[in-house]
Amino acid sequence: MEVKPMDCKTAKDIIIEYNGKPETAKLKPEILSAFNSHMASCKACSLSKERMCELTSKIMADKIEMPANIAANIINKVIPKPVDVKIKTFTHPEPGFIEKIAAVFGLTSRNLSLAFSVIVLSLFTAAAFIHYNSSKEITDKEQLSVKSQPQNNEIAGKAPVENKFKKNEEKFIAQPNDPHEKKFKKDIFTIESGELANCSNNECKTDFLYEVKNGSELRISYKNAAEIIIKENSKFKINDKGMFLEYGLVNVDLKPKTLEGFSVLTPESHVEVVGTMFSVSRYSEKTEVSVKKGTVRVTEIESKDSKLLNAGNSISVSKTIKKVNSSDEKKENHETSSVALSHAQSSSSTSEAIINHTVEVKIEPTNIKGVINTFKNNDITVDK
Amino acid sequence: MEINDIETIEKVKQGITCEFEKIINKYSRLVYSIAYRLLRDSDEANDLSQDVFLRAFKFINKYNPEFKFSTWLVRITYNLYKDRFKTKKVLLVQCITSDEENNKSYEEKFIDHSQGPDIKVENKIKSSQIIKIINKLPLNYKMVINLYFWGDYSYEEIAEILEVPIGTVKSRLKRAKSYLLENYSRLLEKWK
Repeated sequence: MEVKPMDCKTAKDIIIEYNGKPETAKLKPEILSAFNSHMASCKACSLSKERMCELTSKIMADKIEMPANIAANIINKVIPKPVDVKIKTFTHPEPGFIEKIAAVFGLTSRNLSLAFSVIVLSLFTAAAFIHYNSSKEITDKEQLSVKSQPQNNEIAGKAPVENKFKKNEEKFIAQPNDPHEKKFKKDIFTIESGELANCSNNECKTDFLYEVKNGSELRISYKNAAEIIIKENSKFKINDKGMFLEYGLVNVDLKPKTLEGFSVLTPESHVEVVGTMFSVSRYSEKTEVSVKKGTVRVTEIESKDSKLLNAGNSISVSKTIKKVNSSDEKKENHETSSVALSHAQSSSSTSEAIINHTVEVKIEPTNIKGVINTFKNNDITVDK
Repeated sequence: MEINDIETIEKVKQGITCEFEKIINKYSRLVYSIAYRLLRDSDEANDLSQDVFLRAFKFINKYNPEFKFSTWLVRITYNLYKDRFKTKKVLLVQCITSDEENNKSYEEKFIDHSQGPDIKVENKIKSSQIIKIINKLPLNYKMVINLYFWGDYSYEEIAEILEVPIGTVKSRLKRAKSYLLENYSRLLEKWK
């Protein structure tokens, strides 16, 4: 059997494929013999075969230094670590003071706080309500007192006189539900003009004995309903019931339907105003009453005997009703006898007795307006 | 494939993750060696090995027991290496396309001339030169050489790993060897 000669390319392929060792491979004998014959004859292929063997051995000899912790590193990176579950144990703290109190009532501390807050709020609300009511009452009283201060200028429109009442005088504090007091709650009296001898600042005081300065005429507005003109040197007191004339002359001009029950008191008589224009004078322990318009009732205090004085009439009272200047002759005779009786008594005892006498004046609203105008224009002269 | 591997993998599939440690302990050297021979850098090889097992652990349910588990791991290694090589290839292309590189011949580009022939006679130095020649191989060829010489895989297994026909594996291997022999011969001639 002849062996075909092998070319270099085929030999090289065999060298490369079998890594320079074709004899270890399962080659056909004729191919292997042809390869060997070619290697013997071709130095280049023989050299390539040697180099291929060397190359393969060197590649196979390549060793790697393996890291010692390669597996551990990969495990740490790849496999998730189990999560450490830390179980925290909570111990209940020892109950405090509030918790103990709440436990007594069977409540939680929160509910106890809520209940306590509600109670405190209720108490605060109640206290505020009580305080509000009390302060409201005080405020009402103060308002009434303030309103009872004189408003001189507004009423008269005349020359201002600085007069002030004491705020908290009980006499001027109106009682609730009293229409009469409400009616006169503002002022008792204000001094509009004139000068007082014993009071420099014309301060309005009730039940204070004033004396009109000599040469002066005092003009008073009483409860914004009566205009009272008091002549010089007169001595008088004023309160919410009327005025007390101890000495001098008083002209009273009452506005209609306003001052029911107003009276002028002298030691001998009590002149009650019921609606008219009249004058009262008292000099030398003798009281004279003159009615310009309307009707006046004059009552003797001791005997309770009374007389009605119509417009144009006058009466003089010392101990008893002394004299009535009237067209009624019967009344005049009767009164003259009474006066004569009173004159028989001693002068000292007479003055004491006269104090208890009363003169009542009743207001008759009929035909008042016309008389007021005439009265204001007349000068009142005192018959001493 | 060993029966123990199948049992271990089933346990891992069932959620017993600690069983995967056995897999890592068994195949970590194989994966690292291949990764190192591809990269020639211990840190990068370590990272690549971790990525390989991480992906294997993540997609353990996609593993087909008909093939070797080691083959599956090497395929993952190869795929991950290709992904990394794509990024490095850009840098390599830029380097080659520079003017200085264009003036060099193909041999000058792939043969290391930095060391003198008098010193590099020694085998150790030769081996290092051979490794450098191998590293300058294209990716597909380098992978075939790697698996053929160091992985001790058959053509069939290499074909499975690279997912190419056996004929392709053979042709690539033949070309790679021819290239290595040629460059090694030139290297030896220069040393003389």
